[in-house]
Amino acid sequence: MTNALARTDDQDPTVFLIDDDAKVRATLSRALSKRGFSVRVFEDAAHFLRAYDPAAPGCLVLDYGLPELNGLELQTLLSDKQINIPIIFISGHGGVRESVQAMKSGAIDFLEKPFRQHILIDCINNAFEVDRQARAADDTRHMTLQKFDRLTTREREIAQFMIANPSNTASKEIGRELNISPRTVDHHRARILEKMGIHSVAELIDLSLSVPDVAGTVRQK
Amino acid sequence: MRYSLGFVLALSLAGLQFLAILFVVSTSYISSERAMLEHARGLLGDARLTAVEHTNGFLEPAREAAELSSRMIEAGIVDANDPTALETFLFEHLQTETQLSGIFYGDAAGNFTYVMRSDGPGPYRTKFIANDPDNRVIELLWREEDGTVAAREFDPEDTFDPRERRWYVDAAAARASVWTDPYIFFSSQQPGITVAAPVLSAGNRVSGVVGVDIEIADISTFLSQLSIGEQGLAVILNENADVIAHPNFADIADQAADGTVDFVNVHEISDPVTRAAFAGFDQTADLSDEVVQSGFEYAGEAYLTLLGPMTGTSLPWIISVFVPENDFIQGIKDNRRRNIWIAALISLLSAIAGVTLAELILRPVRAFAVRTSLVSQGEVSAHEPLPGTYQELRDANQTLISEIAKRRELDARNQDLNRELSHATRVNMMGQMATGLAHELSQPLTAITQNVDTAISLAQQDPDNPTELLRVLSELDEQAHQGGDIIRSLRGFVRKDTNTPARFALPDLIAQTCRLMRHEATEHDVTIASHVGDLPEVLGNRVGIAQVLTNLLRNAIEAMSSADSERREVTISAQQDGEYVRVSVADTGPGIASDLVLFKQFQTSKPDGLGLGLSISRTIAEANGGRLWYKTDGADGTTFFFTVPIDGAQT
Repeated sequence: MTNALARTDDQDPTVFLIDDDAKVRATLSRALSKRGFSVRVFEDAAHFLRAYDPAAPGCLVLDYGLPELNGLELQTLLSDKQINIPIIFISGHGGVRESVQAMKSGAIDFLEKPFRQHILIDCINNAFEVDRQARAADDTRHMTLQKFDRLTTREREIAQFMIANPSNTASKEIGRELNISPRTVDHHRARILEKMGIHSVAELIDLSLSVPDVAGTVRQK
Repeated sequence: MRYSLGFVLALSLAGLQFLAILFVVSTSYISSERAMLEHARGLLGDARLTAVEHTNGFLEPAREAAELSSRMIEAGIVDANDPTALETFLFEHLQTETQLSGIFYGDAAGNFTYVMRSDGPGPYRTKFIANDPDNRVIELLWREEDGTVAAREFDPEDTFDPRERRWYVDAAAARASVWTDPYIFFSSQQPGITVAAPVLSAGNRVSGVVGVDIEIADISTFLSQLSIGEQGLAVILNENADVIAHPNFADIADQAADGTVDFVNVHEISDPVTRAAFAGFDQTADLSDEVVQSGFEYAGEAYLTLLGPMTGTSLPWIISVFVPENDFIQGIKDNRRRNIWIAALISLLSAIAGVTLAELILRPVRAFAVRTSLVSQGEVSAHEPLPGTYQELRDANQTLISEIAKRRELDARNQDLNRELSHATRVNMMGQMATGLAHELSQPLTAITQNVDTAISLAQQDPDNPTELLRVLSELDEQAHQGGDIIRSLRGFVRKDTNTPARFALPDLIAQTCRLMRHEATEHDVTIASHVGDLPEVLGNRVGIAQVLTNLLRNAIEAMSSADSERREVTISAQQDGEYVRVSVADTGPGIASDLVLFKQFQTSKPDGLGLGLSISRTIAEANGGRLWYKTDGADGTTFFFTVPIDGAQT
C-alpha cells in the first residue's frame, strides 16, 4: 500500500548486530550476508546509538553481555526513546532471569550461543515482519490523521458522532442531534467518505478503531 | 608439678601432728630434765649433808672422849701420874665408847699409857711406857672384858716417845683439841684418825695430851650405804687429796713397796669414776668454804658433782658427791624416745586418717572430674543428674553446663556456617566456572557455527553441487551445536537456585565470619577489627553474604601477606545507608593495580588464583539485591563495599 503520504522508505530491512566479540561479529555478519541479509555491525551500544537512524527498518541482534551498557539496559533505553526496533537477544550466559526480563520487555527471542542458524533466521524474518507491521500501522495512523485533519469542523463533528454512535448513523438522527437537516448530513457524509478515501461509514468506524487517536483528536477539537 | 588434694592433705596432717608432738615432747623433755637435774642436785646436797653429819656424829664422841679425859686429868679426878688409875680410867672409857679403837695419855716426861682394842690374846691391850731415863720400862698387858689379865709382855726395844708424835705436838701447840691427819693405824692396819686434847696444868703449861684413836673405815661403810641415785658416790678427801673414805673401802689403802700402808691419792685410786671426778681437781684452788656444783664426763656419761668442805668440824676435809645424770634423767630420755615413736605413730595414723579423709572428701570431687571429662568428650550429657556432691561443685557444674551448651551451640553454628560456606563456595565456584567457561566457549562455537553456515551457503551456490562437502559441513554444524548443548547442560546442572532470602542479623554473621577467618588471619599476622553497631535485620541469602565477606577478607589477608605489608589490619564496618546496610572491608594492603580489571572472570593478581572470587562475590551481592564496589587509596590500602537490603517488613 504504497502511498505518497507514507513515511516508510522502500529500503530493505537491515540486521543491526551488536556484539563485543570481533569474531562473532565477523562470522555472523558474513553468514547472514550470504543468506541475503543486509547486516550492519557494532561493537557496543554506544556505537550503535550514534549510527542508528530509527527510520531505517530492520531488527537488532543484540549480545546480552555487552560491556558498559548491557543488552537489557540498551533495550530499556530504546524503549524509553520510543524506538521500537524488534530485538533478538543472543547470549553466552543464558541466564533464565535475564531471558525472562528480556522477553517481558518485548524481545522477539532470547537465543543462547551457539544457536541454530535457522532459528536465528526465523527470528530475524519474524522480527522483520513485526517491524514491517509496526511501521505499516504507524503509517496508516499517520495517513488517517492527515486525512482527518482535512475535514471541516462540521464534518469532523458528524464523523465523531458516527464513531461514537455506530448503531445510530441514520441522517435523520444525526440531523436531529446536530440541529441540521438530513440532507445536509448526507452531503457532509459524502464529503467525509471522499476525504477519508473510504466507501462506507462502517469503514470509518473500523478506521477509528485501528487509529484510536482519531476519536480523541476529534473530541478535543 | 601439682600434687593431688589427698596427698597434700595427708602430708600436712601428718606433718602438723609430728611437729606438734615433737614440740610438746621436746619442751616437756627440756623442762623435766631441768627439774630432774635440779632435783638431782638437791639429792646430792642432801647426801653431802648426811655424809657430813654422819661423819661428824661418828667422830664427835672421839673428840668428846679426848676432851672429857683431858678435863678429868686437869681437874685431878684422874691422877695422870698413877699409871694404874689412868689405865683403869682409859679402859673403862674405851669399853663404853665402842666406836673408839684406842685411848691414851702421854705426858711431858714421855710417859705413855695406851689402852686399845686387840685381836688377842685378850680383847683389850694396854701399853705402858715408863720413861725413866735410867730405867725405861715398856709393858704390854692384855685384858679380858672383865679386866682380868690375859697376857703380859715386855718390849724393851720399843723406842716410842709420845712427845715426838704429831698429835702431841699439834695439841700442845694449839692448846686445844686437834685432829691429826688420818693415817693407817700401825697396830690394826686400819685407817684411822686421832683426836688429841692437851692437859694444861697450873701456869697454863702442857703437862700432857690425851689422845683418842678412832677407825674411820666405818665412814667408808656408811658412804657405801648412802644411796645417791643408783650409782652415785660420796668420797671424802683430806687436804692432801688422799682418799680417806670411799664406798669401796678396799680401794683406798695403798701399800708401798716398803710394806708401809698409806691412803691412796685421789688421782691414783683404782676406781676410774672417782679418778675422773677429780681429774681437774686442784686442791689449793678448789678448797674453799663454799659448796661447788659442777660436772664431768666419764665413758660417755655425764656426771653431776657437788664438792664442799666438811662443815661443822675443824677437819680440813673435802667431801664430794657425784652421780651420773642418767640416774635421774634416763627415764626422761627413755620417755622422750618413746614419745618420738608415739609421735611418729600418731603422725602415721594422722597421715592414714588424712588420706582416708581426703579420699572421702575427694570422692565426689573425683566423680565430678570424671563426669566433667566425660561431658567434655560428649560421652555423657551435661544434663544427666549429678552424683551426690558439694554445693560448690553443683554451682560449678551449672556454670559448666551452660558454658558447654553455649560453646556447643557456637561451635555448631560455626560449623554450620562453615559447611554451608564451603558448599556454597563450591557450588558458586563451579557455577561461576561453568558460566565463565560457557561464555568463553560459546563465542568461538558461535563463530564456528557461523562459518559453517557461510560455508554451507557457499557450497549450496556451487553449481557442482558438492553434496559430500555439504554433508560434512552439516555434520560440523551439528557437532558444534553438540558442544553448545554440553555447555548448556553443564550450566544448567550447577546453576542451582541457592538464593533463598531470609531475615537475619548482619552483626552476628560478621562476628561469626571473623571467627572463621581468625585462624587464617593469625597465620598471616593480620588482625581483624570490626566496628558494627546496632543494625536492622537484613533480607538475603545468609550463606551467600557470608561468602562475600569471606572472599573479601581472604583477598585482604592475601593481598597484605603477599605484598609483605608492614601494617596488616582489616577493618570491617557496617552501617545503615537508606534501605541498605553498607558493609565495608578495608585493608592496609598495597592497593589494586590499575591495569587489573576486577570482577571479570579469570582475571587475578594472585599467582595461584582463579580470578573468580570477586566475580562470584559481585554476582552474589547483586543476586541478593545489593551492589559490590571498591575504592583504592594506592599505598593506603583498598576498601571494598557491598550492600544488603534491609528487611522491609520490619520498618
